[in-house]
Amino acid sequence: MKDKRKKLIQYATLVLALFTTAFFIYYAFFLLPHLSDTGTDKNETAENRSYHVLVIGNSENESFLGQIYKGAQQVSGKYDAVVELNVPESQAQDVSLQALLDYASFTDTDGIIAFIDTPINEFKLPLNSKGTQIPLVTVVRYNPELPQVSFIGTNYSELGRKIAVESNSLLSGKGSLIIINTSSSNNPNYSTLMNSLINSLREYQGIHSKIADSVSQQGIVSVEDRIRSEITSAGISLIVCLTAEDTIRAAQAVSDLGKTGKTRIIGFGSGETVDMYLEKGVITELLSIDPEKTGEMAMQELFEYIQHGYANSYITADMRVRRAGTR
Amino acid sequence: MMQIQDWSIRRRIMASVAAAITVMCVCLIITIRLNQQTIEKAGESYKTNAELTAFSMDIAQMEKAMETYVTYRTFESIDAYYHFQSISESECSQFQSKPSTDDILQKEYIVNQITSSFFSCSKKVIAARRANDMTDVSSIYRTCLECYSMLQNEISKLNIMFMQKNAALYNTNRSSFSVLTRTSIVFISVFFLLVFAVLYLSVTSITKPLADISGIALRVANRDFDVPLFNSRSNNEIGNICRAFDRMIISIREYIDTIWEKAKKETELKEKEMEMRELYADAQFRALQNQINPHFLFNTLNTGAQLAMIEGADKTCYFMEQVSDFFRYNIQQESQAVTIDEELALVDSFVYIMKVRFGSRIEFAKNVPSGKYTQMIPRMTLQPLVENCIKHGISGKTGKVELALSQDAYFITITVSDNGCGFPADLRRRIFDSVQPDGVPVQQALNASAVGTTGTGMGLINVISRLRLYFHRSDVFDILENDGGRGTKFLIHIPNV
Repeated sequence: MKDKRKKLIQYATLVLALFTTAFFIYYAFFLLPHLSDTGTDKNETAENRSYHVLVIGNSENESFLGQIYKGAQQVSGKYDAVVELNVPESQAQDVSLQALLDYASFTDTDGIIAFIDTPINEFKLPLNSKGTQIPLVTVVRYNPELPQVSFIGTNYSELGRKIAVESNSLLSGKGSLIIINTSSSNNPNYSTLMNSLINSLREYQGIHSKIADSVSQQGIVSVEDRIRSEITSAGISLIVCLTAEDTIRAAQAVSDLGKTGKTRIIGFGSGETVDMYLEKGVITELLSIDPEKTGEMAMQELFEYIQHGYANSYITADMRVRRAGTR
Repeated sequence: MMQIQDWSIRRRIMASVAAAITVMCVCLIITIRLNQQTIEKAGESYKTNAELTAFSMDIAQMEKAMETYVTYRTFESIDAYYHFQSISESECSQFQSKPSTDDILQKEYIVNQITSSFFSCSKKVIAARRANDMTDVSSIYRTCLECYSMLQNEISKLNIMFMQKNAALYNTNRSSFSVLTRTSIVFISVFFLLVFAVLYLSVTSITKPLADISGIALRVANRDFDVPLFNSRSNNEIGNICRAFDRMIISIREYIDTIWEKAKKETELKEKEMEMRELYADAQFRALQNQINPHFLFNTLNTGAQLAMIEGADKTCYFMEQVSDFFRYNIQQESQAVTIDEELALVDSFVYIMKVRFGSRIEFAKNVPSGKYTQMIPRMTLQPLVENCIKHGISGKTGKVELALSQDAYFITITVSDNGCGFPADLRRRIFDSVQPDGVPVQQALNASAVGTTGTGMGLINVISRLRLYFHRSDVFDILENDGGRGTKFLIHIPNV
């Protein structure tokens, strides 16, 4: 009996030794190499692509361009391309448009999606390593002098009509509103927008509209003062803003005066700040072109040009209406 | 094929130790190697940063050489330019060559692309400077510097990305180190325990037979030969010792059996011899007693006593009765030993008879302290001595015979003395020579001629022989010269039991 137990212990020890040795070898040669890693190891999920597309613009439009980049990136796989956002994150990091275009030239990129609001005489268009012009798709701001492959922008006439409908809806057909327009009076897009908006509002008899516009810095301050006085006079129940900057200023004024919810705002544009006010409910409705959709469309036009040599020269971007409390 | 059990002890111990050392060495080597490998990997964590920094410095050297060439147009600068360009191109070829969805690889691709643009630009600058076309040099050189600036900027960004990635990897590797260290400690501990267990079992299996042998040897040393045999089948030293031990135990058992057999036989022989000797002594004793046992006299005396009583001769009758009692005592041999009191009573009867016969020619004195003397002595011991004293004491004058008894805690001394002519020394010597120390008479002594024709010697030999046989002592009887130098004294010195 004792010998049998002793034998059992011997066998158990032997089996344990073999098992430990086997596990040690497995640990040493199979498990451990995966525990430590080096910086030279490649990302296994990374994928090489054939094309390189740049999204460029200045820091003011970083948020908007970021969403365009997002949209472009979502469809990049379809075009075997890598999309890179090359937009300064803040004004402190801001570089000239020329520098951004040179970057595109030096990296020999295959295509550019750009938000260009600079006159053409202030920069040189980028060339690739073969000396030919890099295909360019512009968004939002149309510049007919630019040799762009395609433009994707807002239909301002449609936008004006849409704002009028939303205003009527918010005021329930009765009330006063003030339209803030600080953009340059010679900007044809905003002229179109104002005309369309005012014409559309005329269709609603119960709605009285006022316009606050200025082109100078001094004027902006005056508009702000006027907004504040209009809000406090209790005569205005809706503020309509046609740019992102105006939307932010109006939201700040309403928030400062404690009129959130009482004085409603219809804003236009996109960006982190307007998104924040929309989420807080200071901005009642926010209209903007759909940047992600714009990015997708830009990619589609760009690669149609790269692959076929032609593209649609003008494309209207889809509009998006977001209401308070949403992002 | 030789089995492990058949290996020599030295070989088995050496094999166990060698196996243990080998396992531990392998364990330690693997652990050290893994540590080294992990440290190397951790060291390589920042390899990409180092390589990129080197690339950046080479590009800077190249730009510096280009700048020098543009300014001074020296051979050294153009050599340096081509040298660093070659190195940079070689280094740049390691970078990602296609756009990638991975941020770092994409940045590598960007650096690669800008580097290519920088090479292209710088070549154009060099070519323009060679051609001394300063207008082109000026415009292209500006673009080239811008490209260089952008390149260094992108390299910096890439370096930061590498740094971030490597820092994360370094942290991962650090945690791997601690995992490795802990695991190594656990493994080494487990291996140590296992090796210890294996060694313990191995050494135990080697030494267990020795312990068994030791235990058995101790039992054998304590004269316990009823031990189990090992019946070992292994062919190593222990097996040989076990077999030798088995053979030794078997031999000892056989030897002991032989000794026992021999001793038994000797004991049996001795017992038989003793029995024979006792039978022989008993036969001699009885034969001697029979010599003084005249039945016919007893019967005759009884008849005489009855006759005297019928005739009214009371004295004669009493005399006859005394004689008859004397002979009855002689005839009664229910037991060989009687009490001293019985013997003294017999002496009284005998002395009465003798006094009737010899009258005043005999004086008998009995100095026996009053009391009972129940100590046993052989029958018919004192009477022959008294008879001998009377016989020799009355030759020609009045014989004085004295019987004395004294005792102490250990011995009783009985003396029977006379005032006769004394005991001849030659006869005394022959009488004592006729009886062996154990009481057995010498065969020749039984022949009367050996001790004399009177028969005195035979009676004394008889007494001496019986006393020695009964008490198993040789000093129970002696013949001395009587006190005062006349006569003989017989001395009986027996244990007071």
